[in-house]
Amino acid sequence: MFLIDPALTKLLSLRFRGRVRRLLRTAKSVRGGLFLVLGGIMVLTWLGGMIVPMVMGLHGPRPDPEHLRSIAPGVLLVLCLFTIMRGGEQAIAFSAAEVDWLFAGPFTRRQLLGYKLLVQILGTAATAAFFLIWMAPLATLLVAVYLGTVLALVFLQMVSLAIMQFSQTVEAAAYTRGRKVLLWAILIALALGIGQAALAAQVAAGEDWLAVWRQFQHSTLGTVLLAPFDVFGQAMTAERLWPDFFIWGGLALIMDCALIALVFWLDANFLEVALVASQRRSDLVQRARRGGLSGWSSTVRVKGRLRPFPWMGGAGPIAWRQATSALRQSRQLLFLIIVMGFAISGPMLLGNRQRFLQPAAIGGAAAWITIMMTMMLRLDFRGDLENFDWLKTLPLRSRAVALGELFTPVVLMSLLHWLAIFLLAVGPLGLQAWLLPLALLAPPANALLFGVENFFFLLFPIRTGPGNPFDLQTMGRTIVLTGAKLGILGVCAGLLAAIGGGVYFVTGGSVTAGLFAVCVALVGLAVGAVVAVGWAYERFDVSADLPA
Amino acid sequence: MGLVGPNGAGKTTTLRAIAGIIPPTQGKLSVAGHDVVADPVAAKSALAYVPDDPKLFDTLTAWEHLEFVASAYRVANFEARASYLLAQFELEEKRNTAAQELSRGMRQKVAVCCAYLHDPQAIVFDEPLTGLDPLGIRTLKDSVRQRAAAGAAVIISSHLLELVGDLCTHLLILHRGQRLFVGPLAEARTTFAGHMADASLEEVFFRATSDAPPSAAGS
Repeated sequence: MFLIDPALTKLLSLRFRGRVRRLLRTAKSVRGGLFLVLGGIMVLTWLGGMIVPMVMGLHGPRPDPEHLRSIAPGVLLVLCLFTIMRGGEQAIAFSAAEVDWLFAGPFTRRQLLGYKLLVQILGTAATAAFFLIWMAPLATLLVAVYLGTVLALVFLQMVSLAIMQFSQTVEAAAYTRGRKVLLWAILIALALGIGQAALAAQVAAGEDWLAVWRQFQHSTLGTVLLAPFDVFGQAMTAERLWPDFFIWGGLALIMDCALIALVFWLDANFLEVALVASQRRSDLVQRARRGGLSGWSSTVRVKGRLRPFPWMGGAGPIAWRQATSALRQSRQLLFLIIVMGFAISGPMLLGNRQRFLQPAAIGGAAAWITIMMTMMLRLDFRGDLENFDWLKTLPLRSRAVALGELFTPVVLMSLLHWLAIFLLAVGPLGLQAWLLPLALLAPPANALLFGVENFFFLLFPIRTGPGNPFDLQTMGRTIVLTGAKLGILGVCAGLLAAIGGGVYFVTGGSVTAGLFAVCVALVGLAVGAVVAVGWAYERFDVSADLPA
Repeated sequence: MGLVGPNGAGKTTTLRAIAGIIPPTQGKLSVAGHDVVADPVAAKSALAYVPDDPKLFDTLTAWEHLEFVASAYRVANFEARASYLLAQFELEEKRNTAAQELSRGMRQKVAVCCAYLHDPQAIVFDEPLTGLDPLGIRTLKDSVRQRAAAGAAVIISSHLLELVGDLCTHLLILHRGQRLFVGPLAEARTTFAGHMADASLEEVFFRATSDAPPSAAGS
């Protein structure tokens, strides 16, 4: 019996052909062609920037391969732990179509596993090509870096999968309470042993964490734990094809093959786990498509109720729906705020505190976080893609729908800005004069930001889904849209600066008048953004085939 | 056999277990004499499953789905048969159209064509009429009758009791995961509506699944 049924390899080739066909078909349109060309230029620029200096010997001094070799095993160990923590079931999650057609098809469990592993390995080969962009400047031998990375990534996935398979098998065997207790005791003893070794290494090396790491690396436990990862590190940093890469790469390949054989040999009944993982992944994609923050969690708590908003020409009910959605995803929202809070406060806590308290540094960090949050806080049209049929049937003016959709993210973002300004005022900065106008400008500025984001989304909609690293059109689309958004925001900023500056000079240097003029102009731009979003919503074609 | 029951009764779960997608927690499932758990490949080779909302491979065309099924079920010289099925379900023009561009009803028809391609001994339909146009409904009903007459076992899960009454000779009623009844339709009538020999299937259903059937039922 074949490890992979010929029908499954046929399916892979048909799907590949289908992807290419789709790419070529969409490239025939002006928009698709433009995105494809731009994405291609971007990839060629990356590849050119990587290969040309290597060929012409223009690259600068490379890091010492020995140094890289000593770091690589540790990095791989950490990656391995992350992969294990993520759980092996991710590696065997099937798409909804695969579940319907393959699980019900005449295939053995091992054949399905073989198919999934082949898909994983092919995906890894593609992903490793992207790793090259960052790793090439460190590489002595490009082939060794690429193949070494492929082998290392396959190893990480197989370790995780083998552990999952093993735990399935053991779980089936360890059905008694006594056996489960014994299993946990072994795991705890192992964890304690590692902890003790790390502590001993720290005591011996003092506070220098790099020294602690070296000490651990040379301890018996460290040597044993890092030994398999060292093989991959040696393969990736090989300086010659023969003997270096052939020996280390060959060893790495043998280890990968052994793990794959182990995964097949264990032959655990993974289908149930795979089905649950597949369902979870499918749900996640659906939720991500629905948008908001629900794609981050498997549950939405139906707790809390908001009183209906005033009618506001029809915008009220739309805004109320999004606000209720935000309320019921408040945990995810809080998580997002905490992550962003750490992103901004981390450098302040760890770096030069005074330098990070300069207005320019705070402004830069605030702008970065605002842009990131604008992209992630999809409680507007972007999160309503699956509800457009329903939205379009509502007896409401398009501008009212646009206003309602933009209301919640703008209010949330402005509240966050006000909170940040308040914390800065009562905290490290003290009450500064420029904080008040900043607080006043926050709502119209946020309306403009979300307006621009939604405007381009409605003109060039895209479904959220699993990404494809070689999707040149999506890359091109991202470049074009980011450029267009930044261009519009840049023009708006220039206009505001001109108005503010003009009024400042006309009034004989009145800062208050200048700021007031900026505020009025910004409100005007925000209103214009709502009108533009309404127009884009009106011309949005629900029946159009949206790229996934 | 018609499989009926209120929402959440376990109809789709039952069908997915028969199709080998989810394992049975207890009991034994056989398809054409093959145990679904012990000999899944043989059991699945004899079976075709058409889910409630068939998920097709987005980038594959209707014809490529048939090509894959032919390869999976080892159907030699499938082309003529596949062409006949596409013609039967009025999909000839959509033969080279990618699945993601097909309407809901067309996707359903592609799934049915794929199910028929390998001439299965047992066919399982989950709400087969969803999305089909009137002609598609008639074609599907006729094809089910033909398959059953040719000796295939057909299970249809549906809330459309008229469809079940029209096509099925046997009935399985599920309620909250429990089997309430299994047997010929006539027996279901005598069991649940004994005093009404000509009771409608709707009346039988309400009587079987509810202690207090609505007064309008069956009237």
